Amino acid sequence: MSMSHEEKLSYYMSNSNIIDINKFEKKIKVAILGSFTLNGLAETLHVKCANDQIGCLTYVSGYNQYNQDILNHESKLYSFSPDITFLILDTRTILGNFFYSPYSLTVSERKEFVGKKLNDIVNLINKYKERSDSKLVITNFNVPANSPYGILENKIEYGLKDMIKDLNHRLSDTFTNDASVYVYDFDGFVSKFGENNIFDYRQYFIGDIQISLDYIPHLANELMGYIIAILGLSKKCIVLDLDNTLWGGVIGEDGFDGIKLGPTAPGNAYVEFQKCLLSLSQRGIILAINSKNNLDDALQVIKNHPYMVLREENFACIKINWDHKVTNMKAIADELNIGLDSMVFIDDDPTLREFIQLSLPQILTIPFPNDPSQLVNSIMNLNCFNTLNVTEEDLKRGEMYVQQRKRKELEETVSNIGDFLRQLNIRVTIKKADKFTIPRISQLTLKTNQFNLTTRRYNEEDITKFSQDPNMIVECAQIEDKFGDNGITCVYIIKKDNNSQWTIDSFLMSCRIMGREIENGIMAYILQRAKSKGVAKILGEFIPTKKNKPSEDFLQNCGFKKHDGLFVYSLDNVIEIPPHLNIKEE
Amino acid sequence: MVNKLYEIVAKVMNTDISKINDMSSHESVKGWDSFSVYVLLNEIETEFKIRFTMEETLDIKNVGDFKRHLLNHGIVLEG
Repeated sequence: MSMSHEEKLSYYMSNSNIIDINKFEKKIKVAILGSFTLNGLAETLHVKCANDQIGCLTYVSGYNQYNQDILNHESKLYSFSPDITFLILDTRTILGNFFYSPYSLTVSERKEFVGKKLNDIVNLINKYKERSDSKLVITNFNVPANSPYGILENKIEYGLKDMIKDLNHRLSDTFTNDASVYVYDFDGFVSKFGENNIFDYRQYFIGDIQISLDYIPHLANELMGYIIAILGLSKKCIVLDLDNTLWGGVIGEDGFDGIKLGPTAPGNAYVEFQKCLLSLSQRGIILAINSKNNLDDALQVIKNHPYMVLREENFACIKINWDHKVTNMKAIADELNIGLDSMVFIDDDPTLREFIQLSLPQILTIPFPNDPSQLVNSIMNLNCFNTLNVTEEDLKRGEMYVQQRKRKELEETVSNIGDFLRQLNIRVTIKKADKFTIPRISQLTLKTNQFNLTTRRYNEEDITKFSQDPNMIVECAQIEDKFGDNGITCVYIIKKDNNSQWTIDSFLMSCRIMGREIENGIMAYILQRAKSKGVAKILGEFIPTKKNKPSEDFLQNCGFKKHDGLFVYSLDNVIEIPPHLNIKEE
Repeated sequence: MVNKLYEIVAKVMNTDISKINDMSSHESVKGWDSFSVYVLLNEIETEFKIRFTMEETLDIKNVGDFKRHLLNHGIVLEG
């Protein structure tokens, strides 16, 4: 079954020895701090990262040394300087003797005890935050299936299970709005695989191993979700086949009434799969169709079938034709302006999947289950859609692509680009970095590849620091037009070197608003502002990457002159903002 | 069958099968430590579909011990 297929730990232990992390461009430093034996987790992460083209360096704290490592300024943990730290604690260690004897305490003592434990953990985390820039992921606590009171558990006020649930709840609440601390639902992990499978008393007694060796790779899979998100490698788009994927059967043969899609098996498996896809789209994942079919037959189902969950408006791009699917995939990437490496492909045809994998290896091709009842599982267990935050832009993304389709239609009806741009009625609002915009600014620096002059990646803590520095300008722009709101889609970071010179540290724009001269307008706005402050020249930089060719000529097009590997703009002329743009500061 | 056991030991300890015999232990095998023995135990249990008791586990010091305790579970590797 797709859900549980995983290699054994020994596979990862031996393969981690043969990885050469130097061959990977992307690297991550991971610290693992645990209250029990966690050998094998680091090795598994090395291999899983290598499979995703990531070089993973790890630091594993000594057995149950997490406190000392965090409290001691000079510990190896700090000199390792991790990007992400997993703090993995267990219920037994935290509760100590009270794991078995919680009822030797009175109700109010139990409450006090939990409050104290929470405090200890929060204080430890805060100490770590003061000294480290690492993201921290703390696991919550497994609520044991058994308790001394058995079936009476719910009659006991603040019983053993309540204590742990309360601790989990308060731990999660404490860090809800903290961008650098994440609580991983380890209790959910245990209930997914079962406490009897995860916790093996023999391994616990002989080696304080509290996660059975067979489940270490599964845990690593879950933790990979954070690593992928930190590195900005999350997938953005799911491309779907139709026949035998979104519904059972083949529309061209079985017809509108013959396909399997409805409230009874097997049609209900497809309905549920569609609901699951819709839930992903509602958190910002784009859906697209790539299907060999007669357009009219397929659209008839999408528009009118009573049990279809996903409708036309849920798809950002629809390619239903007889072209080759490879051609369609490229066209979808072009139209949505996203990289092939941010796409996931779901299709029931194994030969075709293999062909896509060979010709477009950047695309993640999902193994398709033999049995449609496993479709939901196969997608719910993917860890590639995780992001470190969901911004307003993510939630509105689907809507934005529909607006984009309408813009395209306008572009096709007007005869020249100038008319098109004027008719769009573009409004640009410049916003400062503040608590509302910082998550999005960081997200854009992490995700933007094509229109990005320097591709410097900054997390929220970095952006916050910059925004507090009087010698820096950190701003972003929200773009609206007559079809709707594109949200915050442009970011620039400027260093004021001195009174007469500024340097552009970062300038980037989401590719979905490219081609409307907005970038030129925003640059002109920056130049005008610098000039009004008496600045004499602005320095720009272009750092080429595999992906940022679209921004290669931008500085020159704006009037910057190449000089000693940098681009220089002398502010001695009149700077004009393109007339079709209305730029204002918030 | 005995080859299967040596194969697993070699794989887990990351060494050549020709170097494995009944006397192989932490003294002669470089990768043999307290944790890799648990991994080895786990692999052997999966392969032979048995489960050692805690006492058996604690008694295992070399490859020959694995053989001896496999016999307790009806797994005959030689003869």
